[in-house]
Amino acid sequence: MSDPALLILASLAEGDKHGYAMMDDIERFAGVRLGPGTLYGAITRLEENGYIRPAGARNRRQPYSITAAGRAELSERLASLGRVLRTGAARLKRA
Amino acid sequence: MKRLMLWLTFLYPGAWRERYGGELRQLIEDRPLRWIDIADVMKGAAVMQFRYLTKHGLFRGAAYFAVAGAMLAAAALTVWPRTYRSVEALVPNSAPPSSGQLVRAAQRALSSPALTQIIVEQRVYGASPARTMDELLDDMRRRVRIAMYPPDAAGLHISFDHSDPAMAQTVAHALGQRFASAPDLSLTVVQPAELPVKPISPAPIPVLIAGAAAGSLTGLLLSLISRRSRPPAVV
Repeated sequence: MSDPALLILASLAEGDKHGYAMMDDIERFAGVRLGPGTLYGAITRLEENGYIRPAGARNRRQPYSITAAGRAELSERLASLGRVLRTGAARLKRA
Repeated sequence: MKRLMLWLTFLYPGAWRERYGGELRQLIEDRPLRWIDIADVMKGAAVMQFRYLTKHGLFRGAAYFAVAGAMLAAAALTVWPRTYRSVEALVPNSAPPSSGQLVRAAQRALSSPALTQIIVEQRVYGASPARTMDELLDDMRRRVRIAMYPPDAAGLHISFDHSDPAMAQTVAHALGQRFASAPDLSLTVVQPAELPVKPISPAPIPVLIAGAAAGSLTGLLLSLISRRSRPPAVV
């Protein structure tokens, strides 16, 4: 699983974070090291879609927080992933 | 490496940099980086540039200008001076002439007296040309082409380019006759110069493509300039 948007949403579900903290967190829980360009590309799209928003005053170490729409999106995507995982695991058992 | 990566952030669109550039630069300064991150930042900049161009309809503007450029090129084609080429083909009657013989024949055919005679007799440049005879001779030589005649490469193609198709035919035939009557060559005209129907230039397709390309580039540049003059927006 290396979809940067999903990883960022999962990271922010825990609480507000700035870019550096997101990268560390994602590396820790997913074992994926996002590059700076990939991270900010995904942040751009997520903010554009209303899934995340800047938290607090604007500054160069800008924290972001997940929005209600972002939580709904994360929930939906995790549910979808869960279905894939369950189906894949069941089929592996049968094979 | 950090200095290079900080510089690479300038590859992002200006409006994007206004919003996220400071954060990205701070992240680059704060984090330990790897060489692969350089490619990551470059890829991110390319993606953002493409998104920026498509989101703000710059490609659509470029497309309108491309159509306008092609239309302008089409209009220019209608007044563009046309050049016609007529070709006379000759083949040797017996053994193929040596290259030395051909060079001597070409030198005779394109000599100043020979060309002057054609210019005067055929009024190639009208009754009272504005240029000197030397200039006319130079111009005349630029319009003449002598090429080996495929497939056996033993014959010759003598061609002449002119804005008047009839003049192109007349001069090509006159030059062909000079080769055919050369004393040390034995050549026969197998394809007399014909009246050309289609001009060799301008070629419509390349001109239209060039017009469209110039138009799209202009449209893209104008769109980018106009975007830069507006307040930055979140991409």
